[in-house]
Amino acid sequence: MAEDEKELDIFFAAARRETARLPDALADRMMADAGHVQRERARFGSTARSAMSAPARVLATGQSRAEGWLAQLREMIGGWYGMGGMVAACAAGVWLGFAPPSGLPDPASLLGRSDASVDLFSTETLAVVLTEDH
Amino acid sequence: MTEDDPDADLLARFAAGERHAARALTDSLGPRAFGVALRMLGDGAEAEDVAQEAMMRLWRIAPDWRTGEAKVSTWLYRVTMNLCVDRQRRRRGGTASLDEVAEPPDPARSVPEQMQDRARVDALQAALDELPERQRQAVVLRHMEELSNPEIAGIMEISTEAVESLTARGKRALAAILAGRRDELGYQDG
Repeated sequence: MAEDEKELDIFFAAARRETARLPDALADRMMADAGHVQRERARFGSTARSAMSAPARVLATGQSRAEGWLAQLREMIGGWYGMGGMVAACAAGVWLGFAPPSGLPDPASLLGRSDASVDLFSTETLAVVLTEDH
Repeated sequence: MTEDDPDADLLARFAAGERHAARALTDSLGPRAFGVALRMLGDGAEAEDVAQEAMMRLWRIAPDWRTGEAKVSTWLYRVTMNLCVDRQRRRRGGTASLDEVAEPPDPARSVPEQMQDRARVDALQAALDELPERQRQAVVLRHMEELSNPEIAGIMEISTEAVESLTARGKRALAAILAGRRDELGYQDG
């Protein structure tokens, strides 16, 4: 077993000797990405990360897909501020539906429905009804 | 604070807008991301994409980097490994030859020696491609990137003992695969 490992080291040594050199074009792309990120950050400050658009090559490798549909929706409506505004507007709408201000009509009556109370035991008391069951 | 990790200092300078810091980080970390992606994927073009994406994530995380929690290189290796795993799961196909990747000629070695090295590296890559994912990661980080077991444990988020086990099993499997090519590849002369 020790002999096998010694023989393997010959292969590992050959691989280390052939350490891959960073291709010039790749180094250029990495630097271009870095410059892009720095410029966006300088332009947008702390909000740069959400406002930043990924370069086309990174998009092609699936970076944006990994962020998911929620992130895409968030960006579409203007980031977290937009999401917050939309949530607040929805909550206000729901609240108005439950408790309309006095100047507004009841939403239930607008749908042609009204609430009314009916006294099923107008002449009998509950005690009498229960007594008759026996 | 950043004495232990000069890359963290460079990253802070990059976040502050220093262009030179980006060049230094690209020179220092770019080859490592590319090299490990190349060994994991066995495909030059895919390794380039992965390395670029890993570095892009580094650029983006720079302002939020918390010095002292992890080494920048450890973080980058982990991101690169995860991107490689994603790629491998997506493609489920064959691998291209490493021949397409430009390797610098070593003037200290004769042409026959370089040819033998090339044959050995190709054979090793083919054998690596047959290993289970986690064994391949451990072997590449230990024997090609020459990282310590604790550092590999940090990258792979497992115990040092688990690293040792993965590496040992990976090497046994490699030896078994390569044994059939003993005469062809010349084990005895280094």
